[in-house]
Amino acid sequence: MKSIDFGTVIAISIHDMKNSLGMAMNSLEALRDPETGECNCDEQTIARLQYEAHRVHDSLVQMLTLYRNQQGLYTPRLRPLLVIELLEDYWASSKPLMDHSGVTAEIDCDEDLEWVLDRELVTAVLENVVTNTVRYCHGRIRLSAVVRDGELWLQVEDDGPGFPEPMLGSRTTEDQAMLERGAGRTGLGLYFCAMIAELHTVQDGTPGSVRLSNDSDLGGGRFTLRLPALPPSETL
Amino acid sequence: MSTAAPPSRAGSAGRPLSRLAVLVVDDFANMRATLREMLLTSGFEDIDLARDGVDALDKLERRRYDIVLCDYNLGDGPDGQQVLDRAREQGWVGPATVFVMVTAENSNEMVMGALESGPDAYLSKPFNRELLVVRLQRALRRRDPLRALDPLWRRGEIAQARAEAERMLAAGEGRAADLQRLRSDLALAEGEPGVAAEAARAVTGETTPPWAQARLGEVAEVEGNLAAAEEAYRAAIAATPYYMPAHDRLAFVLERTGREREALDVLVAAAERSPKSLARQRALGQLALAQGEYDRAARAWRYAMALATQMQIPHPGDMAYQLEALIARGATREARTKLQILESDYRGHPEVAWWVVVTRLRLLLAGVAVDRAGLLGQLDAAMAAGSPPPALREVLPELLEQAGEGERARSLRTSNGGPGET
Repeated sequence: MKSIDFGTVIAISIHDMKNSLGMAMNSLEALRDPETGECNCDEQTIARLQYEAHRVHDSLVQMLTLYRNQQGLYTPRLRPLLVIELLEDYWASSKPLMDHSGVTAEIDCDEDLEWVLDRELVTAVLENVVTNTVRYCHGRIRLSAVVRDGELWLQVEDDGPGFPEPMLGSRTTEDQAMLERGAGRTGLGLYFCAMIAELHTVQDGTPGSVRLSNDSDLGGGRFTLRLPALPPSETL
Repeated sequence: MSTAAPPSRAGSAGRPLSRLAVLVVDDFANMRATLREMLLTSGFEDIDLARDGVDALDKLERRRYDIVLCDYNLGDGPDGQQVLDRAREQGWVGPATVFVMVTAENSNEMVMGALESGPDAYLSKPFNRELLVVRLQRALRRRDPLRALDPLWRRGEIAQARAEAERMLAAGEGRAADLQRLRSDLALAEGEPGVAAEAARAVTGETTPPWAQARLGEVAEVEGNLAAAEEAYRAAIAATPYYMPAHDRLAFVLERTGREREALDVLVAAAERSPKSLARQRALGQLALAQGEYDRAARAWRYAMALATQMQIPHPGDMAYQLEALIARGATREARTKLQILESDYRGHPEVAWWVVVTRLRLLLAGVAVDRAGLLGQLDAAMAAGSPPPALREVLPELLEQAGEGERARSLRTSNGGPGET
């Protein structure tokens, strides 16, 4: 895993959070009638506020995780869990955001599928990807998991316009172009996901990886996080 | 494959949630109230509350619940897993009962898949109503088809229950993987190892569940093929290293094939990974005693004592074995002090007199000044009241002989029904 210039991470993150907070401040203002002082509860505006709050939260989680990893402070806590529970947990926590944005998410996963992974890190990937997807999709998201060739494939699909051409394919942390300032938040987000994938690696084995494609049968993009089979890292 | 449907007010078989009996177990009153409120808002109406593991077991014994929502940490007394284990063992939680374990965030104690029979689902705190309902609905959809089997299973009509499972499999009702597991369990209990193995093989695929791999080992054991059993357990461990029952079974097979040292190593590692199993600590204690690893043995028995007490099933043997280890190690003074605890703390247990007698005999043989007449009086009283527990039937006469009490040793052996037990 290549190390990153943390100054760039900070610059991208601050820029993004500043934008989000600006949008949030505007939305808050729109909730109150400037003349009468009366509050109107506009669904659209609330959805916007929620979206921006999620974005800032994701940015902070991302920054902290990148920092801890860079400092060698992060040892993944690899533990077996039921993958469908991971997906349901995330679905339930993000449901308010999706409801307000008029998005419905479905889960497609074998109920008995168990996998060893770092729950916190993988949830951060889902948060990162879904917050973005909610913004661009037309109303449908699918969270799914399957085992292919001995790897767990966690996927987020949508019915939106799909990813831009240059982003498609396999993304790794070697891919420093993602960290150019021009690539902005999206590039940093992908770097973050690739880093988490690569933290799921057996010694001398295939590392976890991240792949973007536009072949979802929902019509839009497909984000795939591939995780190899790992032994749990802690005592039971 | 399953798709999380939006929460609705009906179970999959159309049973309204209001008709389902729910038991909520939590040691915090406000958490019980919160969970009850969440359930009421979701359409449940029949909700009982239990404040700890003892209360939960008491309620489970009296009433058949459709859903048990149980916190893992329940203060003193049995924890959530111990409640589940005991309730399953007693048949209070049947094949159609949904059991959901509530765990603290980032809990280290509960490890998914480490146990032979875990809960249907885990819920880690904090969670909202949406998540609670999605988890319960999914578990209900899965358990509901097994309702026809439940009464048969509860009445112990094993053959009929298996026939029903087979009928459902043939008719494509319910979930095949769940039915095969149930069928395999029932067949093993019925003494049909061939069927048990066939059911386990039926769920073998790209991801074979650890129970199925271990089941092939159990079947091999029943059929007397210990080499095949060992191979099956090793395969189960290689595929799912954290599935602890396979480690326990492997140790047992190693011991039976004369590799006690290896068996001990397997159990030591297993107990380090997952210490909270009473059966594992006891097996470890036995092996360590036999191997002369007295420190290890004393530790394992001390752990077993604490677990049994927590589970409200204290047994004087746990403490007596700990004292045996202490005496063997030369810590006779400590053993002597603790003997009084054995006598007082386990008073009322039907076996306590026998374990006290054995321990006092061991002290006597270790050269400690023990009131011999008192000891023999206690033994005679115990013999007049009944016969020694199976665990002591061989060792007690041996110790008596060593102590020069051949007469009593012989009379014990006769009352045991002769030396046929060896």
